[in-house]
Amino acid sequence: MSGDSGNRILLVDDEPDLTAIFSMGLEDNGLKVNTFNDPQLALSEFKEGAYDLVILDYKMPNMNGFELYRKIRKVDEKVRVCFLTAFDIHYEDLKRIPLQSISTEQDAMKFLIQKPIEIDDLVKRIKEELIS
Amino acid sequence: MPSLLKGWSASKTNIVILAAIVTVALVVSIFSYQYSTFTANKIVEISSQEVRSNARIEVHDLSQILSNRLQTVSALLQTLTPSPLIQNDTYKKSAFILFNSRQLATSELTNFYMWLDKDGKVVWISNMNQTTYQKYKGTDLSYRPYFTVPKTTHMAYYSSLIDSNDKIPRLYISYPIINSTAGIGSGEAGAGGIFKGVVVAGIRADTLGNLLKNRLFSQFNSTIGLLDRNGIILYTNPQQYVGESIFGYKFQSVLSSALKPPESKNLLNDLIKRSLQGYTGSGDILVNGKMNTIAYEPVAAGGKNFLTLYISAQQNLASNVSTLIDQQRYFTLLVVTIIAAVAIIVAFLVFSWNKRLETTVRARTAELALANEQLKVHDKMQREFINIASHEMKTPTQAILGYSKLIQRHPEKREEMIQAISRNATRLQRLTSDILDVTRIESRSLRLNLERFNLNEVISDVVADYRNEIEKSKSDIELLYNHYGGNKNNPLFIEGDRGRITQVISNLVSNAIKFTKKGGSVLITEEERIVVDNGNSNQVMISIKDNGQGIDPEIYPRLFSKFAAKSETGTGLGLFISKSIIEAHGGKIWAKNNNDGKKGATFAFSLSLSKHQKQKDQSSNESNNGGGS
Repeated sequence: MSGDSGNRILLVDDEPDLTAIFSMGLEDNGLKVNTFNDPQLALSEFKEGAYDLVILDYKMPNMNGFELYRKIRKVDEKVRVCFLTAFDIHYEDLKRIPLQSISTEQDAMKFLIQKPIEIDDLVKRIKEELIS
Repeated sequence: MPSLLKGWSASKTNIVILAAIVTVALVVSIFSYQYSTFTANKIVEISSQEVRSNARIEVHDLSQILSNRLQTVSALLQTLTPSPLIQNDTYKKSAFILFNSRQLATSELTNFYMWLDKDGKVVWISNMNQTTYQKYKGTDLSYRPYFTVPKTTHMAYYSSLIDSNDKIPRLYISYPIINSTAGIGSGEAGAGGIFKGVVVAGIRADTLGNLLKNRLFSQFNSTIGLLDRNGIILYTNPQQYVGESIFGYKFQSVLSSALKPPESKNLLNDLIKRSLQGYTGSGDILVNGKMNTIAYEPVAAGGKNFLTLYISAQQNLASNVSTLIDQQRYFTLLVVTIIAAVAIIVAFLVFSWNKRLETTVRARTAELALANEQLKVHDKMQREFINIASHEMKTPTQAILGYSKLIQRHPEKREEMIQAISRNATRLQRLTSDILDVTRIESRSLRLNLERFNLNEVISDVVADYRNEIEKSKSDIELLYNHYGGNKNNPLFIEGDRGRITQVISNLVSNAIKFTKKGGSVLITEEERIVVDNGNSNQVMISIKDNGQGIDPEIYPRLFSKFAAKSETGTGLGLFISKSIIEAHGGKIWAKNNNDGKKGATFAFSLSLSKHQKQKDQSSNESNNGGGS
């Protein structure tokens, strides 16, 4: 998908500690990660085709993950998006937003990464997502 | 809807109850009315029976008396006829004496005794002075039936009413004088003897009536009537109709006008016709609204019905009874009315009671619904709290989890990561503690360890702590503390939980510092003020004023609620807990953005001062030395 050596990932989370550990973990596995703690800033610097995968925290000040998703989607129609959340989000909640084709609960759960998660598990999930 | 249906079914029951009450009332009323009418009718019947039987007894008695008297007169006449004094003309003068004595013996009834010769001429009239005798002597009465009938039949004769020559209506009983040479002592006037004249007894109609009238039972309110066998009135009250035929025009027209209703006249005429045929009996006739019983019986004389006697008695008792019946009717009506009124009152009470019950039930249901709604809201808030709290706990947990893993791979960042782990652990610890506090507050199990302490001292301690922090973080924020009246050694004693009050002040100062930029300032001011109400309770107000970013207007309305405002390192629960603690101490807490041209916000709280402020505490003075600005 990209000419560069590693896949480009955008990670947006308002907690600096979390962007720090997640980016570190992903970069240790040869993935290129760009992180933002401010969703507004992340959106303003977002460009079409710049990323292979976007990982968004759900609960953020000023703009939540779903809002940011909708705005990103307007810029880039194809980019894959995953949500990272410490909330208990259910299939029903996801169905309310027009994500990529979601027809089953299992489908939906592919887009949802629940915090807290082991760094190695996260890396495994992201790699799977990039391959599929 | 179910409550409406319930109301309907309740009122349906009410209607059934009401109907039952009314039915019972009606049945009782009708029964009582029927019974009273029945009793009344029985009484009327009994009293009428009494009147009837009394009338019949009286008419029988009087008829018997009259009959006996007439028989006596008849017998006297009969005994006169065979007398030799009469048979033999020579003893005429002595015979006159005989007549007089006989008349005297029956003077109660008879008016005179008269002797007519074989040609119907007056021989002698008893009780007559010489002048009158001379006038009537030899008067020809041969045309009178009391002469002609015995002359031809040789039998006794009982006349109907006859107007005598003196215009006085009389009845006559006459006996033929038969020559007894053929059969003396036979007793009966034989047909075969020679007719020699008649003896006649004259009975005045009014005498007859008066005799009867005097014999009426005084306690029995009745009037008497007497007719001869042709229906001529012999006696009645008033006497003006004596001599009239009962069926004559005059009397009938009087009846027509006097008797109401009109059918009473026919009834009366029927009764009289029947009585004149010789029957004994009685009949009830309504006269002008009053029932009268008329009893009749023929009066026999000489084996024949000579007269007919009538006793008319008003059924006074019956009319009295009917007054009683009317009274009873009114009473029954009254009872019915009372029953109806009671039924209505009972129904009204049942209805209103039911309505009140319904209202109460509705109110209770509404209360329950409200309580249920509140429970639901509380439940929803509780779930939301748990959701947010768990989210807040997962974040530092994730950080600790991540750093612990990465620290092995990146030994060069060891120090940094240990600090991060420590920071997140502290955050987790603070969060846990705050969540526990919230749980205690919400379950109302927050306990205050009340003691009397110096608020000055607590503030000074907090100020000292945060000055150290500021120094460490090199944020260069000025933290100032203005004592009340500028006097450091002026203790402010309050009754409260020292630890909890410290927690509140720390929270407010920490918030102020957090939202203040480098080089800003935080000013703590204490002021004592007097509130006059509720009897002179002194209060202290502490304000913490900063010149930071101020309170977001969006957040302001729910500033003191859970997870409303959250600093980078805060839990979002501090203000909620602070408010709960201050309120638990009976105080107030509030916040506002500064409007004195400077940026920033001011948080303030007030608490009641302990009543014994004068009591100096040496240790508090000592610790005060550590603080101060």
